[in-house]
Amino acid sequence: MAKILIVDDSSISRKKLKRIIETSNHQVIGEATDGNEAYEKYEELKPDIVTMDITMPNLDGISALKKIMNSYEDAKVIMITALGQGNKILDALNNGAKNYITKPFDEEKVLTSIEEALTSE
Amino acid sequence: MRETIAKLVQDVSIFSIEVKGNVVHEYFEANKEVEGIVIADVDKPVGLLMRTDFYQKVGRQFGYSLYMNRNIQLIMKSHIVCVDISCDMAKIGFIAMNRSKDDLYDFIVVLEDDKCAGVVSIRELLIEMSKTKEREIELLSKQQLILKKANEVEKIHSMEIEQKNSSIKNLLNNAGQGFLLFGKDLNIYPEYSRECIEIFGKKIENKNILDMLALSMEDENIQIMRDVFSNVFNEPSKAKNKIYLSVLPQIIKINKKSIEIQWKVINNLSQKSIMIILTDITEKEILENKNIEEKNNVKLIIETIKHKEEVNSAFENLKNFFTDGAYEIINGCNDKKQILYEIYRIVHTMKGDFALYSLHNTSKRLHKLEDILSVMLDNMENVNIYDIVELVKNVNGDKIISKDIKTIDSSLGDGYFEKDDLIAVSEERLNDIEEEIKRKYQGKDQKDMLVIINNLKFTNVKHIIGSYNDYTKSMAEKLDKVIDDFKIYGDDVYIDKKRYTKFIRSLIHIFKNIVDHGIEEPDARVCAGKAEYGEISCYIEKAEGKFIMNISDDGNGIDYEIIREKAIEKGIYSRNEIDIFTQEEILEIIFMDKFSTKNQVSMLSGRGVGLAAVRGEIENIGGTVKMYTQKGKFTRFEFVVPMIE
Repeated sequence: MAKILIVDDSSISRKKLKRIIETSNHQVIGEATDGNEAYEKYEELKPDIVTMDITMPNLDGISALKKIMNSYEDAKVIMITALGQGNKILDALNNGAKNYITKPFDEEKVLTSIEEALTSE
Repeated sequence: MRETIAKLVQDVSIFSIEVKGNVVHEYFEANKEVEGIVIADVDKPVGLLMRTDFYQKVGRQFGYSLYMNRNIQLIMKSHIVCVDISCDMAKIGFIAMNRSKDDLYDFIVVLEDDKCAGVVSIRELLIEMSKTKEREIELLSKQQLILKKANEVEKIHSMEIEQKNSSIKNLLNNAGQGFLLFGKDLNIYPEYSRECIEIFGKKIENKNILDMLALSMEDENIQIMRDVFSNVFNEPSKAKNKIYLSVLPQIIKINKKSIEIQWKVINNLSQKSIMIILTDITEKEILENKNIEEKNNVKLIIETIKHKEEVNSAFENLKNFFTDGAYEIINGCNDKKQILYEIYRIVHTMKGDFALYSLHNTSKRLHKLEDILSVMLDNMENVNIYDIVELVKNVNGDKIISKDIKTIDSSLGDGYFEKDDLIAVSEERLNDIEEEIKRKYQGKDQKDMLVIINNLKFTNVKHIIGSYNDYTKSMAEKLDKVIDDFKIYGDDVYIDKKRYTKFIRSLIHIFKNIVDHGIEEPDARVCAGKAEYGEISCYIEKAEGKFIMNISDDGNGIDYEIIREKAIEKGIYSRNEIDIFTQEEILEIIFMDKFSTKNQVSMLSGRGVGLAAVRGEIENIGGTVKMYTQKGKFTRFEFVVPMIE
């Protein structure tokens, strides 16, 4: 069972993702709505997996990813993106993101991405 | 490889030939680890005295008296092996091992400019020589391995060539799909299947893959492809490669045809390449598009029914954003880039939200708008604030949602969202949707959706209570209070919702009262030793012909005294009457019409607002409601609800 932190500025998105994750044996231990909060929650909760939306207010997902990876190089971050963000996905992958999930969510893809990220080094 | 003995040379103590035996004895005694010493005449080494030899001689009969007070010249070995410091290891090994048995472990004296520079211990020499040997063996076996691998690669190469020229090629040529490979230089290999010529309209060997695919692509996507390829060729992890490739487009237009592309990394022993499989899906796509749209529409309807309030407020938010929200951002900030980014971000978020509700057309239109905003963001120097205002002015929220609204209206009836009902779709229409699902979906999709439709007709009471969760939470938020998700437990009781419509609807007053008057503000809760988040729970119990539903909060409870005073003030009872009321009877007052009217503005206002309505509805269907409370602790509403067939 993995502890998961959901980061997204859309409450709808957070809710849908949470619902999907909770059909598996994983547990959502926290939610954050921007990059700054994501970093704070990461420090506080030390989750096994972070799902990180890219476009967010204050501090965007990629900057938050970099900030987390900088302090915790073992962090496992999965990016959440909408259509047409190919270049940002690449940027994220090159900065240590383990994988990415696109909206709208495909239940199976969400869960396999989490499994894969958990087993990655 | 020549290695000198220099690194093996160790320091040694040098004694003059005139030194007496007892001095050496004292020295050996004081330095137990010393194996031996060198004896020199002025600077020239002339002899060697090893510890073992010294004590062997001294230990003999009369040895002690014989040697202790005489020059060590008498006891030293004068046939010593001296070598220059530049001597190589193999040679010194040879010299050392060729000594007589008695001298075999003696030091070898090392000279530098004819002076003693130290000694080499045979023990150290042996260790060093065996290490060197080991390295040689290792090197040799490595060379053998490389040779073996080279052989294998050669074999595989020739096999590949053979394959390329035979059956596989035939197979690929007739598969009706384009197969091609390219390497790190991005040039297409000369071997590719015939269908590729069909797709690209020309021969493609040695052409750059980006040039071939880029014809109908935007610059940004070409750059993404270039980056993905460079990452794949530099990244050894297979799992990571797969993720990178998944970023690439899966359908692109080539010569006006829709081509589906599968990307694969091929790891040969010789070199890494990327294989792509191209399938012309133009005709299939035309057929499917219509089908997909129909399927999307069914999904859209189901989502809209399931999440009516949320979908409706998403639509409202969108419209408000383009009439007010965007202007608030523009007026509230001086930095044009920040303004544009904020608008971009909100449009992007709305796009994602609508996609989650399967409102694809709205999502698509927002996506187009996002594209425009993104181009503007990239060219900030040419954008001024008036361009942004102009853009927002030109966006018509109604138009963005019009296509999806039309679909909703035609399926669920005009003005679906305006109906203030929890469920506003006729059963007949539900049956239609059920039929549509059976026709258009198979397998798991069909099953999942039918379950949803059935749930709409016959509903778990837990689910009905649960549907108030979000509303109640947002109501709490407006009052600066926080509550946890409802805790709903007990039996699963299924009811035909439309028989209870009015009662279910009246429950909203219960939750309004709980949030408004039951749950305290977070600070007050913490001061009272409670959790910051208020708790609302519901326990459902099945009984014969009825079910019992308890809705409770862990809030402030009700003050009997205040109710008493209020009832007197409102002239419902006199003080004499009320003084003999039991606590139970006092709580009954709350449910009275006269007590609970909406227009009160006093401190007690609202406590009880609508509760008369709740009692009215439950009694209409033959049930009862009772209230239990303890000041500072909890309030609980107990409903006894009959099962209506």
